[in-house]
Amino acid sequence: MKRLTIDFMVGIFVLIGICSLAFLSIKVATNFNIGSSNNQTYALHASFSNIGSLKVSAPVKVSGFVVGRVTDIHLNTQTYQAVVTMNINDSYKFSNDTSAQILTTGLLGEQYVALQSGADTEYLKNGDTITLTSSAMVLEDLIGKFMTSMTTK
Amino acid sequence: MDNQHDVKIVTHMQNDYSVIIENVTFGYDEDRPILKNVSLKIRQGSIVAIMGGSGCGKTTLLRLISGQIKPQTGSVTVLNHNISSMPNRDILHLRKRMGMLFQFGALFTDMSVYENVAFSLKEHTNLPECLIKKIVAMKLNAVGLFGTENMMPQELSGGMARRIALARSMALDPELMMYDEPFTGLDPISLNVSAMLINKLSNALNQTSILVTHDIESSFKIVDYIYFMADGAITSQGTPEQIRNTDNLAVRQFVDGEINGPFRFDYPAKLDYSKYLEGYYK
Amino acid sequence: MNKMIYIIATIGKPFADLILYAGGMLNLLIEIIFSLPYSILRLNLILKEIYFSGVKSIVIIAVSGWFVGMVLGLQGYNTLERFGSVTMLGSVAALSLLRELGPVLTAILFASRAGSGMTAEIGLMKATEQIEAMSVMAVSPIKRIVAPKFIGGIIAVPLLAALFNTAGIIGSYFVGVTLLRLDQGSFWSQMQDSVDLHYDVINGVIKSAVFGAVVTLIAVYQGFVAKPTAEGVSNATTKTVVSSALTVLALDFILTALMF
Repeated sequence: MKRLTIDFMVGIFVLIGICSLAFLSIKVATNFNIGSSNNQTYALHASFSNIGSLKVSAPVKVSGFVVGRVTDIHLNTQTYQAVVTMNINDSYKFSNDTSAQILTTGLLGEQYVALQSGADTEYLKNGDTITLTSSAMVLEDLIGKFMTSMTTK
Repeated sequence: MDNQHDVKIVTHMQNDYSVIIENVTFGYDEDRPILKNVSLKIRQGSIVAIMGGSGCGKTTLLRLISGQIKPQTGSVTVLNHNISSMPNRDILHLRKRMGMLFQFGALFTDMSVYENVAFSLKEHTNLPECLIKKIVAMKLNAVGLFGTENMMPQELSGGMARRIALARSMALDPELMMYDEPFTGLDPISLNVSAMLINKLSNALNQTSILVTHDIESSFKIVDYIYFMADGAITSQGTPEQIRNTDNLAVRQFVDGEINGPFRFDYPAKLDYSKYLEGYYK
Repeated sequence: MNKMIYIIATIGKPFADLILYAGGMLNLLIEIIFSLPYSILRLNLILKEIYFSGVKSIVIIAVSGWFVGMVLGLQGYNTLERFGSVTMLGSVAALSLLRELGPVLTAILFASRAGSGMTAEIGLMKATEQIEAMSVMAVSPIKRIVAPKFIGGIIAVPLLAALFNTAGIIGSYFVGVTLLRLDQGSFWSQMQDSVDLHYDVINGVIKSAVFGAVVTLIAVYQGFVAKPTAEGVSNATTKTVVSSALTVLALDFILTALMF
């Protein structure tokens, strides 16, 4: 086996491998990636009375478009509300009166934070808290309400 | 590194002996020693044969000299370095001044003849490729196989493979050459050619040669001194003339190839053969 | 009393063997790590190893990946259909491939395709005194033969795993979209929605690099401890494949627990 042939074949192999990796990262994976160097992010907080089954690394969406990820969830021991910390891509700005809501993809899908931008001209800065929130819809609660409304009829 | 190498050669010139083995005992298991209290000295520039029946520890002795194994007691001094107390890295360094020819050549089967012979030149020197090519051609010419550079080891006959291996082990012009059964399995012509080559190379480079062999006729023609080993110990030694005329029964048996003598051909079985056939041991 | 000792010894033997085995392996690993600075500069040796272990495995990896992807597509479709969420097929296939099946199956295929070859090569080199000849020529076999294989394995396996995953996803796309007529857009978007570059793709690459190192280490070790006979070498190649498969599966559990 000539040296050149080996080099050539290995070159092709590495190219195939890199193309596969590129395919996996571009076509298969979400491009948005928190914490990567070229994607500057800023943090926002929001308190919810019920977060359902929201998890860390769940997406934050605006009109269904992913703009960030949930990075931390903890309990505020004074208000007994869950505080959700989100990292939002720097290129998206939100007005001060933006509202946050926890929604579910489909009936049984995973939960995400949906932001609804307001009309204020001031923008939220790093570390600010979103005050207008509405909690997760919990399926059991819904069924419970439905049942009680059925029985009261 | 190169300066250090020169200094070593100078100190080496002051000493007459290439290999000094003193009271060496070695065994892979504690209770089954292979070498028992072996002592020998090999003069610089001489050709020495180590002879003896199979399994008497000859190959183990070569391994000791090349530093692949270390003695349990005693000391091994090779080229003025006591290798029994040397760290492995320095032994590796010292091995650049030794060459070893294995019984079946041990050529690297995935490399061509050229790459085999050039192996240690490429690994240990920074010589340019064109110079290496010339050295390889010289070495191959010395063993009479110039022109086989592009062949693979599988295409060579046993005798040719061993001559290539000889060229390979000579590549760095070692001061000490070891041959492990260089004559076994060769046809008479290759055998004579090999013996002649060993003699010629040894004289031309003034190198010390150690032959481990069974072949009495060929080796007696070229060697200066012979050590006889039996059961892990040196039983007899002398020049070829002395060995030929010795009274030692074991050596006589070996030299004459007698079946009956101190060396037993039969395995020392616990049961008696004729009684066994009669069904005595039921 | 003797019987008692015998029974306890019988219980103890496998553990003692395991400890010896692990110790030998660790020893070899340390030697390899110390010779890396030398070997990493011998690019032509590494290229040769990548050629033998990587390039020659492309076809088997791509074809296996393709079939595994198709099976995932079919089975996933049948299962998801019960919950009426067949659009999830893309994400199910991609996640199972990227996180587990890709790295694990690639490593096992690599062990049987390239690892067994390495064991046989080293075993035969040992049997024909080539290893000994090399060390007598003052060249450490670990540096010259083993370390390049090790580096080659670490480079080749992640690339092969990426190829496996790609072929698998294309296979599941083929079954899901071309054969079962799922919507192409939702197939890709569901996949993109659930697969994360860092969590899934990069962790998969790290996993397969670890597997590549472990499989080559086992293969090389088995080659070195093989008895220098025809039977010994053939036993050693079998051992390479079996213990590589077991180690990869066990290690996969540990890595998954640490990563996800």
